[in-house]
Amino acid sequence: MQYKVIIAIFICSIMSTVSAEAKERPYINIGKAEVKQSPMALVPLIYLGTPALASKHLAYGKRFYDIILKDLTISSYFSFIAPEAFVEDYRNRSLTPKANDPRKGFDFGSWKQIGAEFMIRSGFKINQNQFQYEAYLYHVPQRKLILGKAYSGSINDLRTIAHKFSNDIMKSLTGRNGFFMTKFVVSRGTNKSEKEIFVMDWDGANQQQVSKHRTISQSPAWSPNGRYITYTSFLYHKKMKTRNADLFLYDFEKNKRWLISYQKGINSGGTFTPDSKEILLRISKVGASDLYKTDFSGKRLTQLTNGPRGAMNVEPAVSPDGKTVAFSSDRSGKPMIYTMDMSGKKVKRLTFAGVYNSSPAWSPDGKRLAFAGFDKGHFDIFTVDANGKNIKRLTTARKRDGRLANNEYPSFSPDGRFILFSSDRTGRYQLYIVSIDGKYEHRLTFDNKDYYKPQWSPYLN
Amino acid sequence: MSKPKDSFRYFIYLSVGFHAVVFLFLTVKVLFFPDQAPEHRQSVRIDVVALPEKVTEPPKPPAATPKPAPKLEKAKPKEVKKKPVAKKAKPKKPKAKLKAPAENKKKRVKDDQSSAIARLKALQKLKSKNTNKTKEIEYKGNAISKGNSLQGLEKLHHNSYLDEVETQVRTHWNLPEWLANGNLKARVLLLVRKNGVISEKSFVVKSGNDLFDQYVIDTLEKSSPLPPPPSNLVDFYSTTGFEIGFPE
Repeated sequence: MQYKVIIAIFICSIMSTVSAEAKERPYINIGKAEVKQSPMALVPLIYLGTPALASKHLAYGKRFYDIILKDLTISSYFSFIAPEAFVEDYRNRSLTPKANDPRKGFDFGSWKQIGAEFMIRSGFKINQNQFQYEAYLYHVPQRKLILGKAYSGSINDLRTIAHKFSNDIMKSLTGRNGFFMTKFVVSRGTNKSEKEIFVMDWDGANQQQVSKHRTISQSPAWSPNGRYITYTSFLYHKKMKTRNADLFLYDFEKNKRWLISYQKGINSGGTFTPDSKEILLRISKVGASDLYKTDFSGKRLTQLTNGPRGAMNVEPAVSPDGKTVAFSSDRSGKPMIYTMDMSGKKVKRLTFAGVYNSSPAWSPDGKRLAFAGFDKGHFDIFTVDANGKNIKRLTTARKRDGRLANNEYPSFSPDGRFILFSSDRTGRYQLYIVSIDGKYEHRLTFDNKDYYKPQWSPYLN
Repeated sequence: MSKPKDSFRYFIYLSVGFHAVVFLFLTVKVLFFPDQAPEHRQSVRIDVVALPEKVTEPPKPPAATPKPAPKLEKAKPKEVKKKPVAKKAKPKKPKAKLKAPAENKKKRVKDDQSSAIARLKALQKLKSKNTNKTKEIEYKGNAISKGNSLQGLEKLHHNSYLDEVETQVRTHWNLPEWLANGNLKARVLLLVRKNGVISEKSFVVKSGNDLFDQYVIDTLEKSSPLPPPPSNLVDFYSTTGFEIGFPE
């Protein structure tokens, strides 16, 4: 027993001496790091198939490369080293390093020499309409393989395979899902007097029409589980002999749609609760426009706002935790952003600046809201903290004639790093995304259509 | 005669009764069926009309420990290092005046630069001489024992040196966005030779993310050699060393 006590005292004395010495050692806190883009060498795809078919298949490889390059460029995490700057002749090297393939493996040294931090090497072949892709992501300074995967799918699913690979890169580096498999829902002009609801990939490709009412269909919204969308259509009612703005629900799984709310007036601005079981909407009757909550049958209707004094209450947006509703209202004279709890109480005015603030949208973490603010004759996208502080303008763009363009209808990406919006800077309302610091902005649609009120889907994969 | 009196009384009762009913009705309505709460509007309302402009380059957050003095000291020798030619240009100063005006102009700029660098150099020498002198004087006048205790003048020397190191390392400390926002932390122990070369670097605390730790090592490699430690602290920094937190 005595022996054990002596050993314990001895260990304690040593530890105290060591800790005393450690305490005496000076210490520097270097602070937060500067954020930088990592130099990436995205090596063009190598053709791994039968040489005789190379000329026929190379275009697929180029198309695939362009999709990945666009995905990763827009992620804003990387700066890309131009292939002309590559020292090594990548065409005559295999996809693995010399350590694995001494005869044809590539040399990390030549990639470090051009400053590459990350490198993607990949190859493909096409067998009986099956696109087979093999890819490796390396960290050059560490000479380390981060990701190695093989993909296979129909040649028609080439875009999906490319987006899947981009997502895998994001996941392996950041630990978070990429948004490259997500979609947008949007109201798109089909002719001068009609708008229909369309769904498209996040990069504007693969547009599919969801509504065919041959009228004005607008204000679409995704359910948080990605299964439903809700939208409003100005349908002709035979009995009333007039058009009425009715709220629809569309189920992607069952490919079915049904009417949720068709009270006389405007039934619009539908948005889902986080559990995807209820819908908040605005119902406008003569002299009043208020917010309501309903289930999918449309029968259990609860009124959330009541004026005051015939004030307009529109565009509800439920916070991700399901506790707060943001909406726009002109109860103070000018349309501004307000918040309230889910029962319609504890109303709080969130924005005071500007002439006209509308279209509130929550960030996925519920800490910020984006909105469209009308100021100096045009709309811009802004963000504001959930407590109403720290307003930031994210957009500013001019039309060809020099006048300031409108940037409207914001919607957050599921990872919260970007905001989707619609802008008329080209003369048409096209889709754009902007990073939440306003630093990076990208145009996503390049056609002569008009896109209104786009909404970003949740993660769908 | 009694008829008019009775009818008068009758109408009085009727009037009182009617008023009572109206009063009762209003009271019940107010108490049990309240109308919408009246909206109280402020007599004076002030709105901020203008929304903020877009900030293209977000302002850089101020450094955690802004210490201008060591930064200046660090900047000077760098300038001198970048233009070693300037040293040679110094004695040619008077000859330049005899050359053609275009050349003269160039020469003058060069001379100005060289003289400026020379001035900086001289100032630095003077400063280092002064600091050496003061060090000697201070050591003579003080009875501070040499050792590991960071107190008094020795502490000042440590702080001044560590400020220089911090400034140098900070310039190389950058991360990809996903790591910078990842709330990762690491702490490294450094031993530094007389000439500022890092002789040993070892993790006291690792972040748990290999890539982050690699960026920490890269940052230190890019920062080496560090400023040489003050002569009286060479032993300390080569044996005991110091720790750097990336970040705290």
